[in-house]
Amino acid sequence: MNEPGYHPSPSRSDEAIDEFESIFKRAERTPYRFADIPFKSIAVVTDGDQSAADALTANLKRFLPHTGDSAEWQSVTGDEFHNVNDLLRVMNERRPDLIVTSRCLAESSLVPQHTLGVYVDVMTQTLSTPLLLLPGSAPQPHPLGDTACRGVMVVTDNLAGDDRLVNHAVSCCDPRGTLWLCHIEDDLLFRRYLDAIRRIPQINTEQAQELIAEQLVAIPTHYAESCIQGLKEAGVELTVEQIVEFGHRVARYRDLVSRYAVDLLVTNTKDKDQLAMHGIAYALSVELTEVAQLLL
Amino acid sequence: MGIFFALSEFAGHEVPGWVTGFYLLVLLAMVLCLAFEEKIHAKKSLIVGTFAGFCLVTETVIGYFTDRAHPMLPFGSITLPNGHEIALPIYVPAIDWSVITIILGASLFVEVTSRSGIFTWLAIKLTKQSKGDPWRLLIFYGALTVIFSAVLNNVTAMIIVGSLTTVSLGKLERRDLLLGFLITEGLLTNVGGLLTLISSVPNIIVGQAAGIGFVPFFLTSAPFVFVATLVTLFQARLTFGVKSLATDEERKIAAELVASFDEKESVPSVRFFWCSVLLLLGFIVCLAGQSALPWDLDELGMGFVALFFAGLALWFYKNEVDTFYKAVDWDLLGFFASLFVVIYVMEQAEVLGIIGEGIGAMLSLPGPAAQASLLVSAAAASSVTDNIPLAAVLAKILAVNPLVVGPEGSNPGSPFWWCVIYGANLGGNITPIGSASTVVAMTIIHKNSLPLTFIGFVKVASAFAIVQIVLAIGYVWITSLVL
Repeated sequence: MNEPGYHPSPSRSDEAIDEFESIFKRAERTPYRFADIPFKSIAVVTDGDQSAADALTANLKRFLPHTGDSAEWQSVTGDEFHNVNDLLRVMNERRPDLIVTSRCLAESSLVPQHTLGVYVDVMTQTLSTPLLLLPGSAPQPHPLGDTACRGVMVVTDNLAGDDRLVNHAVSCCDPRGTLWLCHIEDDLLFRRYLDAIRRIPQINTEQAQELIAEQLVAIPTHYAESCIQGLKEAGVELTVEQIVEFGHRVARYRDLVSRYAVDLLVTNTKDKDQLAMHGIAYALSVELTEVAQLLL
Repeated sequence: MGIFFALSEFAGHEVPGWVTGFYLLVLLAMVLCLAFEEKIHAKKSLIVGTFAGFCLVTETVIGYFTDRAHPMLPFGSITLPNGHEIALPIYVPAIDWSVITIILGASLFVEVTSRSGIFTWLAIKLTKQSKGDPWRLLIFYGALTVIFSAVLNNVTAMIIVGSLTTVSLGKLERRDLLLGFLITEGLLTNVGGLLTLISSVPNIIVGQAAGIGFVPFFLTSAPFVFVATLVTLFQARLTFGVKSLATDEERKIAAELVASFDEKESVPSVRFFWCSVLLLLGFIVCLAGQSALPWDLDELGMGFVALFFAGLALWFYKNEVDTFYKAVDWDLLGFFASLFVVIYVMEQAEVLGIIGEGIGAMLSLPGPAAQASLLVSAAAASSVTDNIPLAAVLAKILAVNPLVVGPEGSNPGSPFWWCVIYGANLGGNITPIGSASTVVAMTIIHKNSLPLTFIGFVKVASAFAIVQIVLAIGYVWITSLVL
């Protein structure tokens, strides 16, 4: 009877064990733990000269009031590096807690489109230091604005349990600002799985669609609620909102950024299993150039 | 053939000896088939149903050819207490319907009330109360296993507590303790199964045959269950190295991890939750007071109480009762019904008389030795095969033994009934196939890729089972002196 493609039905006890494990798994929550992220040392990397670096530093102190005066600000100007290895060597020597730089660094001859430039590309993957990308690009910078960073949007496809992402976002946001915790579930991927489920007679497609979608939304929602509670208990008085929905990620984030007054996007760049930058982070960093981005 | 004629002379009855011997072999074959159920890949109901059909057909045909005037199977009408006669097929009155209705009603009731989340709510609540300390968690899960085995049944108890153990120890990153926890819980299901008359099928069968009421059963077994649970937990602590957390930091982290469970998630409706609590309390109270029900309502029996409460609970899901009917373990009910038919046939063929002679010799030993040998024999038999046929056969045999029932023909206080109850339940702890709940424990163990073989289980579990059986022998002896 055990031909290829033959899947015996689970026994009654197997079904019951699975059912109760699911009930208990569903009751399990991923708690948020607040941690203050102190940026003690910040390196401002520019392909310009010292005066350009000083002007940028002054803007950044206003933009990041939480760290502004307490951090040690260092400038890395264009004459200190001539290639990627030079810059990596400088960063490894100085070991800052945060690197601030622009897209398409040292590529002033180009009018860059849909690229971060080789310097940023390599830094995001070889250094573990968070990297703050300024709006625009090095050849065509966008102003940071005259106010502090009051709108921070956490951008991810897996919010639950990502305390690091949330805590970095909190550390960059003005205490009177708003923090959006966003989790966009890829609807194209979901539809692909549903197509597979439709071909499996043992699984009720309608029920599977409803229940899986419900859980995909419930998990980040519960975590976002835990974040709100955890920040309140830690005395952080930010306004925290959650956005958990299905959609095309880049399109939805572009829509959300245009709808809300977002000053900074915070996203993960590293995947455990890949060397290249996390797909959604790369897509957003080349598409949404008008807003600053903190890449972790 | 000589041995069969010798059996006839030994039994001293009208059934030819070779017929009795033949059915004795059939009974042994059925017991062997049940022991190798997993190898045969057939459900119990089908195995025993086939034997029941075979026994009915052969005994009818043999009766026709040996003594047509006095067939072995007593065909004919049934006379009701009011004198009326009704025609029923022989296999219908052969079944003990009081046992079947208790099992059907109780399983339906549990199936519906468990949908309220009452049991999972309690399990998560206790997990949080433990604050993630492994030793406290083992005590709480042990107590929970015993209570659930008593109130629900040992299989459901193992499934609920075992599933929660997997999830919570995973959350606490203490999967190194999972095997010890699951084995301990598996062993405690059979201890908890001793707590009430309806906690396990052997209890129901023997309790009904002996005429032991719900409350006397509980009062007799509760002290033993309490002591056996405590001893098992401390033995598990030593065997599996379950220790309390040492530092404040460890305690803080563990408490935070278990605090993140949300017990309300498993409760779909608060109204139904509280109704289920009330129904459960009502069910237990009515079972406890069943023999004292007024206006002849006690005559309806415990099975009716179980079916009545199942019916009440079903009203909460009046549009989808069919899903609960589907969830009833019809294999188990078919197995019981077929088993009663087989035992009835065996009774007519004087097989039970032959076995009863052997057991009678055992019961004639001096008091404590007779009790110990019956208890150990029942435990040994139940460790390798299903304890339900064992309990059913022994209940039938003891019910007619003068050393058990005395001159009045009924003695619910006889210690021999308790020897069968303790032996049949605790014997299930010796091997992983000894009881349905240890089979479930092994399923969860293998599902989690934990290394434990059949022999590995026997090595670990038999030490616990021996201690429990020795405790039971001592307890039966003490109670026989006191009560």
